Amino acid sequence: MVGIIQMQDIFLSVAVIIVIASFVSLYRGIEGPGIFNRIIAVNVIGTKTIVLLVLIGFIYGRPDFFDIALVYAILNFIMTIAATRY
Amino acid sequence: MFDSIINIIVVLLLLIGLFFMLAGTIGFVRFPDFYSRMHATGKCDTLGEGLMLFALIIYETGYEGLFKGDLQHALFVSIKIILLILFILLANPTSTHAIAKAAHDVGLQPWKKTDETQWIYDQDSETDKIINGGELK
Amino acid sequence: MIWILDITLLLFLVVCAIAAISIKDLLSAVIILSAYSLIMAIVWVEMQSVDVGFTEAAVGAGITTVLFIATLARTEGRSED
Repeated sequence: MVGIIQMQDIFLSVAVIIVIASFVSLYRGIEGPGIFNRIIAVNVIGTKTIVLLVLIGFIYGRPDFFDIALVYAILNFIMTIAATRY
Repeated sequence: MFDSIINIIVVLLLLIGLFFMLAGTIGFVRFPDFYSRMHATGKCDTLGEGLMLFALIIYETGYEGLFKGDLQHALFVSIKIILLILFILLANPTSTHAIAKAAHDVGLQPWKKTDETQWIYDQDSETDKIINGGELK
Repeated sequence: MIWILDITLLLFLVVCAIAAISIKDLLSAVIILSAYSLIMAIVWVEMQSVDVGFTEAAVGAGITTVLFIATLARTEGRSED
């Protein structure tokens, strides 16, 4: 069972790395010359948050977080379509 | 002994997925033009995501199902994650396509190799003019 | 151990908020706000409150952003200040 405890730390470190990666894409989101770079930035951050959600679900060992991840996948898609429609 | 194999597989897949994601992010920040940035994020994020979630499925079925025995519970969870992966594989390319079409309609020129030197000045001002100032209502 | 994730997420929120204010273009500000509510839902989930995270996700990215974009479609896209 010892391996399992390390697994949670591994999940945690992966989650922190993902947040740092979304920090970087946020930088481009703010800097982006036009509107479209910002739309992609939010799209990228949305995709990252989905993985983050699933990881947090695993860290806490509670499997009912994945519905939110599913909602996010759909919302991210709707957001992009709404932004491009305008 | 058994769970160490699964852990190794899961960690390996997670790292590979993470690598793809980081590659996508770095590409997203460093590429000079809008289209090339979208090129990077569209592909790498979807792939990185798919790999990481797949690794989590393996961990789930391995840890919950075979190790603790309640395979039925693990089945529910992994079905949800599989659905998630499928949906992302569907939604991400379409949204990238929608953005590309919208940007193209507005008249955003792709960055050409020729204007290598002063691309920073005219590129930003030009796209700024088109996107913010110009006819984008 | 978990607080590392907490702090990075909250830092992310602060940067998002400042960015949303300082951006001239309104549509971009709306988009940054949707990113803000995205991360806000993660913070709720991280604090183990699933239902609040759910509503924040549904309301924040789903309804608020679309309403903002709808109002932007009617009014002028750029702020003059």
